Amino acid sequence: MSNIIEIKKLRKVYGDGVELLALDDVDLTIKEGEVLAIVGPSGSGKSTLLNMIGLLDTPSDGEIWLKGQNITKASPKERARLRNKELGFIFQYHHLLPEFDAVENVMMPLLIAGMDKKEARHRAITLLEEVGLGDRLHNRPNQLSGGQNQRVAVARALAGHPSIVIGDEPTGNLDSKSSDMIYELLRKLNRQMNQTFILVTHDMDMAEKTDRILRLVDGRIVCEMRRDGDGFVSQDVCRQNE
Amino acid sequence: MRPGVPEKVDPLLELFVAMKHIRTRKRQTALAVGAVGLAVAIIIVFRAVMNGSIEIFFDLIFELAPHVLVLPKEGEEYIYLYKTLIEFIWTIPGVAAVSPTLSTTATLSFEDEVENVELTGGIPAEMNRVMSLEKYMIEGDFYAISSGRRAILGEGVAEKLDVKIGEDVVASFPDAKTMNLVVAGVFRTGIEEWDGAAYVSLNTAQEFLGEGDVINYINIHLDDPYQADVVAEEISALGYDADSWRTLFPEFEESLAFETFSNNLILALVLLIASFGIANVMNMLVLEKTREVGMLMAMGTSQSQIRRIFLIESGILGLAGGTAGSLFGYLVSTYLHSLQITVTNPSAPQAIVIKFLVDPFDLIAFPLLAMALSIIAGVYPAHKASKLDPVIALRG
Repeated sequence: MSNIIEIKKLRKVYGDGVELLALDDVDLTIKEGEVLAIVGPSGSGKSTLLNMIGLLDTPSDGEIWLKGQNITKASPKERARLRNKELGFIFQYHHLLPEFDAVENVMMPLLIAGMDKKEARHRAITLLEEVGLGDRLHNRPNQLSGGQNQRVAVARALAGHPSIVIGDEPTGNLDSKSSDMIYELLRKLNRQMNQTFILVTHDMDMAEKTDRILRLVDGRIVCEMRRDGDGFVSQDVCRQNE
Repeated sequence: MRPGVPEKVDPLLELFVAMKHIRTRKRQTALAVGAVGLAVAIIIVFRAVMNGSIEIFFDLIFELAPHVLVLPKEGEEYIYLYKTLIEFIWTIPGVAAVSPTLSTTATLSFEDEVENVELTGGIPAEMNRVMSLEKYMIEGDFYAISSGRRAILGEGVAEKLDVKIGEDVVASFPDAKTMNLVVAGVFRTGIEEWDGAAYVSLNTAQEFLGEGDVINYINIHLDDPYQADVVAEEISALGYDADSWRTLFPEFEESLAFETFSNNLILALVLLIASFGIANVMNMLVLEKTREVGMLMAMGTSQSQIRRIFLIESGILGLAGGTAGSLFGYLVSTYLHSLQITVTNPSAPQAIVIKFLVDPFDLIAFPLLAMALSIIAGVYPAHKASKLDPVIALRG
């Protein structure tokens, strides 16, 4: 399995006067086909780490490699291109464009990539059928339930065949039934297409269904657990910090 | 990384998003289109009135003033061989009237009143064609001056001398004979300078002056007054001092140019204010769309694409408003023109019908100008949107 993401000694410092260390010497490697969960208390740096991996934010120090390419210092234009081509995003709030129907929302990353409209529409419809919304193609976000909108968001994240899909509390705004449905959908896509996912979550039920759990406290990875059969095995780093 | 691959400049995405905003945000769209539309409609109607009044003004000028004025050769006081000259002038295409004239200053007196006037003699029919005097008669008959020693007086002169039709005034001047003239009529043009004049036949004027069969200028009217420069040049070639109305009265066009400029300045401000309306709508749009801009950026929309979305949207709103306003302004102008609204001025002899003349050029130019101004108005909001930090924008 090849490495999709390699993070080396990543640091992020916020603020001009009072400095806030959001990430402190984080090392992390994510392999193709993994489903990874990042957990930790609020303000532990989970979202900051996710924004770094998602090329939405830039580190103060350290390096980020995407598929063997150092993208730490990529230009805004190049980062935009990589986000479009290599990354998919699912947020806590679906962030669908309210004026556009489900198909058009899913088409959006493809249109940004410059794909022909007809081709993009075809791909969007296939994906919406995949996530079980084949009968909701032309509904706008305000005509769909929270769970349905989040499924549209999943379809949109997958539209451009990204190397990695990033979920920032993807089920944080849903009831438990819809949450389970979304997770099962992500798992299914992971198995079918070997799609890599990295998920930030508060929901330990969901985290414990992933392949690997990272626990972040005060900007440091304090615990890393890997799935081993039905249970999890703590790594060395976990014991050291506990 | 694929260095050297040119960025795709297909505006499909930008247009798609912009049009969606325009179509779904109906109230904001109506507001922006309405503001620009109203401004453009006002401009179209206002300029139609301007064009109309310019035409009325020039019609009046061209009716009363010479299109080409021919004066004697340099160093000569009179045009001696005027009959040959008139024959030549008639051969120039487009000449509508040629009025040989002998004009001199004279002192008119009646009982105790004395008034210095410009006493002008001409062939009544030709004189009428170049000055439309018959139309301005308020008393008596213009053609009565054709025979005998008769004169028609401007209203100003008649009032000052306190003279009535049929009474005799005495014309005199140091170098001229004293002559009795019967008042045959009174005219009023509404132009003070002209209402202080007196007209007689060419023979009467020549007798009064005693210089023989001479004239001192020729007043020419043309079918198309804008050909005056060409005609004046042809006559000048013979050695006469011929000038077009443009040279004779430069102030007409100068004052017109000034007025047109100041009017256009006001109209530019109207359009500018309307484009502030667009700027406002775009600003609100960007504020409202912060999270969606963040999401578009997360999906890989570049800063320049974000900027273009909002610029295209401004431009479309401006063009739509401009086109609607242009059409509306045209309809309003046409309607107002058809009403034949008249204004009366106490000093003018006739009521003036207000004309609304729409220049077709305006109908195309102003929507385009509105579009350009709207795009400029959208620059700041578009720039603001493109500079959003996606992390902060997504947080809402």
